[in-house]
Amino acid sequence: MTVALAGLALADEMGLMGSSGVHATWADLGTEPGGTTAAFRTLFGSTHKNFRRFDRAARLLAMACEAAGVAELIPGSARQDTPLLIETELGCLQTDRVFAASMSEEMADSSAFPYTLANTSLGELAIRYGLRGSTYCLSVDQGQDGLAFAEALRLLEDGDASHAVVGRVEWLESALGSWQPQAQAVVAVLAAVPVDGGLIRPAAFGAPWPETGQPVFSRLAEHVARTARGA
Amino acid sequence: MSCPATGPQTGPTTSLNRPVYVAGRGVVSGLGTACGTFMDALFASQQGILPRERSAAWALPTTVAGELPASFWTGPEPVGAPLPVAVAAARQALAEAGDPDPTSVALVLASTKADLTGVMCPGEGYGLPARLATKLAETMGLGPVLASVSTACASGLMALSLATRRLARGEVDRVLVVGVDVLTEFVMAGFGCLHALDREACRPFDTSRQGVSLGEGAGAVLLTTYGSESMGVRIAGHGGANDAYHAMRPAQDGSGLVLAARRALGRAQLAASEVDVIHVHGTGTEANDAAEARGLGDLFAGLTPPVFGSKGQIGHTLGAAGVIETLVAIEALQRCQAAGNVGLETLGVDPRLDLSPAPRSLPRARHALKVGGGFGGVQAALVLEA
Repeated sequence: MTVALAGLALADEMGLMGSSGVHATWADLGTEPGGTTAAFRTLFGSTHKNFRRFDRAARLLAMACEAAGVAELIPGSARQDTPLLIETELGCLQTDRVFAASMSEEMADSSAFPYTLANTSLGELAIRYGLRGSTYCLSVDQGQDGLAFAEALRLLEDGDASHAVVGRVEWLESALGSWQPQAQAVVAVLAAVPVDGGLIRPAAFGAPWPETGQPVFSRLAEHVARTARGA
Repeated sequence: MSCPATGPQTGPTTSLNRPVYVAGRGVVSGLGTACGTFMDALFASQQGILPRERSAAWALPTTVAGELPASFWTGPEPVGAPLPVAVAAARQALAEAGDPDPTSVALVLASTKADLTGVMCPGEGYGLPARLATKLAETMGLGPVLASVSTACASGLMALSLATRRLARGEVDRVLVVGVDVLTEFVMAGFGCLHALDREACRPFDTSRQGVSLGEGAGAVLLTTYGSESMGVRIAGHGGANDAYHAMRPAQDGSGLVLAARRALGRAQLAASEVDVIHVHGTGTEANDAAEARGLGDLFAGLTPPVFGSKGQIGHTLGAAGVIETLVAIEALQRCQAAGNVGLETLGVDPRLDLSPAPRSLPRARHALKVGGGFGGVQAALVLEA
């Protein structure tokens, strides 16, 4: 068995680009990073349930999943086992702050509270794509990069699934401590394939396989940006 | 056509599938701040959900909570900080295992909101579990932090699953899994605004159940691949699933729970009929308890083995629940006893769920199934073998 990088997408402060063919800037869409329900519909021709409730991080992630081609790349028969593994350093800090602020009101914001758990948004993605494998939200510390990717490889190697959706998401509006403002979601679709088992799709964006010890998602993001923007 | 973006060829599998044993346990809870006293109180059906004291000033639609005793908060850390809670549980687990060299022990942490300083008050916790994991590892002198799992109320079980996989594959030899969450106004107000809190102590699976009671605490379990360190129980199987049904409610037919349980049983190479006792999630909400009962009834195709839960006594400890309750399931195997379902008077769910208000002896206690779930449709299961 070997694992292929079947799909890849990056949503950052400038725009969205993915191996499904999507390439757009937020400025073109007339929206802030992460987009709106209308922008999602414009880009993908469909709506995303509860998208309007998502914080910026969850919107970036949802956009990146769609742009990576999760819906097209994972066969229906494989989705029953497909895991979703996302790592994040900043989690849903934005929503935490929104909810905390609402606590001084007469009634705290009941629509925000469920999304103070980062994996609630992952549940929305699992629903959209029918992913019924394990769902992991991994909290990572500063300097850690690629834990979700490595964990997905373990699941594939152990035969738990034939595909995995992995990614990293961060969003921070203004500097906080040692963190700088940031907006980025990287999503990859991994596919376990037999080595001699027929046609294999070319690697998304021609991305090189991340070497052990590399900051995986940072490298993938750089590759997509360089390839799609010529930067 | 070859694929340039592929990993190294690995063959059918690289898993060594080494056995994974339980070597040490630690619990800090409103029912007891040491594992032994906690278990004795729990199996004696004592109640740890009491009138609110530490949280009394918070305006909430409930009169009770599973708070840690005031006597616990005597250290230098602020009252309500999660670090001393996690440290206390972790120290118990290492001590029971004979205090192995801490640098030989890797850490996996489970928590929902960890330390909310920086969000609710000055500080730098920011509700980010990885920051707490790093502090815990530094405080205890532990080896590397393998992961910090934040998958809502299934965090603890998912952390145990992740740790078991690493151990079974031969990547590490000892992992300390710590699940921890403390009561905060943030979380209690959140459950309150969702109308998910029972005004009194929760009553899982009862006809009159009104919602959850929240609790706080930590559970710690030291897992090892060294058979000589085993306390006679191993993790035989683990599995996860997603309902892919609703972001905040479980699938009504319990199908996600069944999927996770079947995966865990499959990994353990066990038939459902070989399960001797089940420790359930049992939150006390209408939707969770009904779905759990229906799913387990379907899994066992009839009456289940004896079933019990612990949230009627300690409250829902969120990210700690999966670890604390796994330790309770282990205790059930060792005592050959299912604890009572405190709060249950009249069964209000699928009658195929074999629940009893009072503790009962188990005719056989070889295999326990532990299940749990959480927001985001997450479901997880463990199979424990004595």
